[in-house]
Amino acid sequence: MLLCNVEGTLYAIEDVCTHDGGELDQGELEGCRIMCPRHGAYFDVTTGAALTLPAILPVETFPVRVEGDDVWVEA
Amino acid sequence: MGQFERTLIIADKGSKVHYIEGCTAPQFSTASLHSAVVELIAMEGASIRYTTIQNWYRNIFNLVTKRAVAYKNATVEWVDGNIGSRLTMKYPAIYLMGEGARGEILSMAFAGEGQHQDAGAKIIHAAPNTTSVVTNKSVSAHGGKTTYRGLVEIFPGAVGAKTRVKCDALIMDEQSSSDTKPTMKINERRSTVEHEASVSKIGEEQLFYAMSRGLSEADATAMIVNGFFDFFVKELPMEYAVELNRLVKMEMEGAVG
Repeated sequence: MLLCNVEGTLYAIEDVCTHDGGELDQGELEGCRIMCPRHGAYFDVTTGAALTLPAILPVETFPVRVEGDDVWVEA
Repeated sequence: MGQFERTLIIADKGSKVHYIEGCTAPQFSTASLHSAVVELIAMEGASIRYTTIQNWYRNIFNLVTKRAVAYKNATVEWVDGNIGSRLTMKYPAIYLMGEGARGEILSMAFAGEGQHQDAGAKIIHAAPNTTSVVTNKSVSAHGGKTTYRGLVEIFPGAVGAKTRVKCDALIMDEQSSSDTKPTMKINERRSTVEHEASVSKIGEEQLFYAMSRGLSEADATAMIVNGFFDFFVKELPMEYAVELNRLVKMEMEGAVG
């Protein structure tokens, strides 16, 4: 699972690129878009949508709840 | 010696473009590399046809990435001819991303002595009511080797997608070979998928018939092989068609076996 901080709000997505099944965690987060480090596919971490080829299918997202210093993710 | 090129064609809504290239090179004393990337983007309702006749010299390594995206009701056609080079690895791809998009890949390959034509096609159906046709024919002679590597992938939600793949190989003699490696990943039940493949040598009856009409064995063989490639040649502009027939006939000399 990948936790992303978009301007102070946390989002959780599955740490899997739907194009090749590898991990996304080494990719750059630009605003709300994360880029897969291997072939450059972009995903919107707020909705999970695949934004560019070669990814076509969206990545799974999980609801996030922050309570004080604790971050809860429903998976 | 290496040549690295990149071609990008974007066809705006409703537009139509046909791009034709013939690739050839003089003889170099050492092996050389040609590595190219071609990208086609067909916006809504647009149509792009990209025709290539590749006849690189026999010591050139030809590694090519060809990828196209077709949006709603757009059409992309790859017409891909491979005659030259020592090794060609090329798998034109079409991503059908919009409803009603259509893709067609026509590819032919001739592998003579010392050559390996590793060609194929990739079609990805990612939208409903998309259609695709892949036709690939290859001939291997004088110890040449042809490979067909194909992928058809239908994503969930591509309802009504239709695809048809036909790959035929002609092996002229015992030293030559051909491999066919098709892959189909179908993740949408409401789709229609067809695949057929054949491998053969020239029919004795066909050869006998042509020779009984006065043709030499060499001429008859060349005529039959040109007929095998007719599906491809008839899509080419006249000058290319004539040239290709002549090249195939030249390659066939001595291929009787």
